[in-house]
Parts: sequence; C-alpha cells; structure tokens
Amino acid sequence: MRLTRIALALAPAWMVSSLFAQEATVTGQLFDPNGEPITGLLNVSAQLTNVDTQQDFEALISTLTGEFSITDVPPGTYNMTIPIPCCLYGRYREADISIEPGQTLQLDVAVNWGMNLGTIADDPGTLGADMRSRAGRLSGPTPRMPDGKPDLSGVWSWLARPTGSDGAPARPVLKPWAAEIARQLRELNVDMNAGAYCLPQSAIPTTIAYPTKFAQTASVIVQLTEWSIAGVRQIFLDGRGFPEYWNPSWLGHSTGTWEGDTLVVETVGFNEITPMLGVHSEQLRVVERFSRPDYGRLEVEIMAEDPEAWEGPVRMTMEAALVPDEEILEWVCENLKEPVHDQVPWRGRP
Amino acid sequence: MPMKTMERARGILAVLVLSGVLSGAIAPGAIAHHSFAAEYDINSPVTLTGTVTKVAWTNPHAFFYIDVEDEQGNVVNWELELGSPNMLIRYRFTRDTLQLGEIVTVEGFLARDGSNLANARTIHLADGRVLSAGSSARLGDTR
Repeated sequence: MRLTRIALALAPAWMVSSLFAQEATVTGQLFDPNGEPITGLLNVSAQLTNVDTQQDFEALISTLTGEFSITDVPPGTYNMTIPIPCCLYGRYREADISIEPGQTLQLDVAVNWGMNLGTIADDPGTLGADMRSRAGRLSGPTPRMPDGKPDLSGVWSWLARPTGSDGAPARPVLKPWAAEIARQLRELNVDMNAGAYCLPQSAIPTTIAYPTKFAQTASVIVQLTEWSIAGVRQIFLDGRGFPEYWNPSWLGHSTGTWEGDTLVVETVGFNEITPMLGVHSEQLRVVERFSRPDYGRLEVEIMAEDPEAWEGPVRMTMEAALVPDEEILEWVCENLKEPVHDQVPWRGRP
Repeated sequence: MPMKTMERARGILAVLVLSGVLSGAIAPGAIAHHSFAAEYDINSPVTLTGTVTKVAWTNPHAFFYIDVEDEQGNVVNWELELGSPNMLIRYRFTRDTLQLGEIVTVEGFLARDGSNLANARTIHLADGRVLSAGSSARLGDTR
C-alpha cells in the first residue's frame, strides 16, 4: 500500500489524470408519463449503488429542471434508485446499469405515476412546492411580540414529511395489544386512517402535509390546518392547566410555555382513534418545540409517547417555509356516495 | 383482577370487538378520501370522449360525468374523479371550467370494480386547453 502511495506521488501528472479519467459521470433528467420534465422535487437524490461493492454515489435532483449529475463513479454495474416521496410520482428503480470507464452516461428517467395515479390536483407536495417557489426563500430577523417573545404567526408550508433522526419516517414500536390490532388492520387491507373516512387525519395537525397558519396573541395561538377536520386547534399560553372535566378528543388539549425563544407545546387528552403514528391509547402525550430562527423559517421538534401502547417515545423533526401570500381555505370533507363514519375500522377499545 | 391481567383482558376484548367491526362489510369504494391506487388499476388505462352531463364540486374529491357512445351506439354515462376542489381552485380549475354539454376527452385509469368509473389525469377541453397532473400542466399559476 505504501509503495502504491509513493508510486502515485511520483507519477507524472498525465498518468494520474488518466487514472481519474477511468471514473464516469452519470447525468440524467426525470420525465413524467406525459413526457414532461419533472420539476418541484425538493431534496430528492438520484442514487447509484455498485452491485459488487455496495458503494453508493448520489446527486441531488434539480428542483427547477429535474436534472442530475453523479460524478466520479468507478466503472462497474449499478442499481439506480430515486426515492421520490408520495404521492404524485412513484419511486424509481433500475437494476444492472453498466457503466464503462471514463464514460459520460446520459439517462432519460421515465417515472411512473405514484399512488394517486396522476389524478389532477391530488398532490399536496406539488402544491406546497409551488407555494414555496412563489414565495422564494425569505429571510430577515425573527418577528417578535410586544413582550419580546418570537411571533410564530404566518402561513407555513412544510418542506418535507416528518422524519426521525435517521431520516426515515418515525414509527413507534407497538406493545403487543396494539401490534395485534395493527396486524389485523394490515391483514384486512383497510386504511385505518380516519381521514379516509372524512374524520380527522392526525393527532398532531403540525404533521399534515397541507399548509398551516398560526395566529398568535399573548395568551393563545390559533392553528388553522387545511385538509383535516377539525382544522382548528388552540394552544393556550395563559398558564392554564389541563381541564378538570375533559372529553378525550381528536386533537387533545394544548398548552404552551416559553423556554427562551422556543415555544414548548404539550398536548394530552387525546381519544384513542386519531391516526398518524399508528395505534395508540388515550395516554398519548405529544410535546412540540417550535422555533422561528429567522423571518422565513419555522422549525419543529416533536416527541410523542404513549406508555400504554408504545414501547418508547417517537421523535421527529420538521421544517416549514413562510408563504405569506397564501391562505388557508375552508375544508369540509363531504361524501357523495354514502355515510361512511360508521365504517371506520378502528374506533378505539371499548 | 390484577392490573396486568385486566389490561390483557381489555386488550383481548378490544381485538375481539375490532374483529367484529372489521368483519362488517367495508367497501373500499365507499371511502370518501381514499387511495387512488387502491380504487383504480394503473394497468388499465382508458381514454374516453364524451359530453359533460354533470359536475359535482365536493371535497375531498370532485367528480364529473360524461356521456360516451360505445361501438354499438349505446350511450353510457361515465363517472370521472378529480382531486379536491381546494386544490383545483388553486390551479384555477373552477366548477365552471367544465361546461355542461362540452365535448371533452379524458385519459385515466379504470376502476378495479369494473364499473363505469375512472380517475381523471388528463382532460382535453373543447377549446384546446389540456388540464393534467404533474409538471406538464400546472394549469397556470397555482394561486
């Protein structure tokens, strides 16, 4: 090895450059089934994995053009993966791509429709990307309330789905009783998401992909969220505690306190049905830590725990961009065909 | 009953009750805000040309209906599903975009249940405009 290093060090420049010239470049562009370039993808990479060495090479896909360029790829056989998140487009996979020494390989990547099958106007990801593109990256000092606390007010668009520390979607480890219910639901191939039945979609409205609006006063923050009933939650900042009389509810009861410039919101009092993090009990407790590091960004750390249903807590982080010219629209989930509320497969334990 | 046992019994009961609930007829087609991939078959693309007879502008998904003449000359009414009116309006697709009596061509995927139902992923309007999902047609500004 040492000899090799020395040899390389003493080698003429042309010899070294010819060695590096062995490596290839893979460029490409993503196209949808209509044959148009896919734009608006955020933080999505094209990934090449060497079949023999399992070494990964990747490059970010341009949000504006759908193009990518992976450089310094040693020759060999590769599998390509493009993990496009739900829902308009599907994940892309191609196996056994042969890359020759020094080659510049141009790939036109034809991506199929995702789980919404290309239905017109059914992808919140595209809508959010359009909103953020219009707003641009806004910066400036954090706005503050008269008492000096950060003002979180504004319409926000989430940059990505909530993820755990490893970048993957956060999922709790279920205790046996909860795992059994989850297994039965999977086996029956039914969607336990109450949102599919025109009921609330998440115990944590912050995690809904649609834009959300905060309207902050000194004593309360009102959060408006489109696409999920109830669509409104109040985060009380006036020091009140959990009510003495309380019906377990879809969004629970939220109170907020300030730790420096971070708003710590604790929510308890959930019912057992609200989906999003899997089967849970009424013991679900969620802590969200909101900060607004500058004018255009909102950051959230979420911790959710349920000692009755889960083996341990789940942690997620999210980031949102200010989209000041957008507005939240009324959302009433109607149903054309027949009432379906009584068909929700999981209604909690008796 | 000791707490642990009680919890276990409660869990078993929950599973039994759940089984009862789940054994009832749950028709995926009846789910209001469903997965398109579950209801429609990506391997069954269809192109339909017909006259718009009705537009139902409802959340979570809008529908429109067209009369299509088949090879035998029979007129069949097809149901076509869109995304939500909240998102359609941001793409400047309003409840008046599709006019009753207008002849349109729709590309989509057939429903898995074999009914005269498909999703709408591209609509060719009579005036030449093309409305579709994806980068190719954001329907203009998404305001």
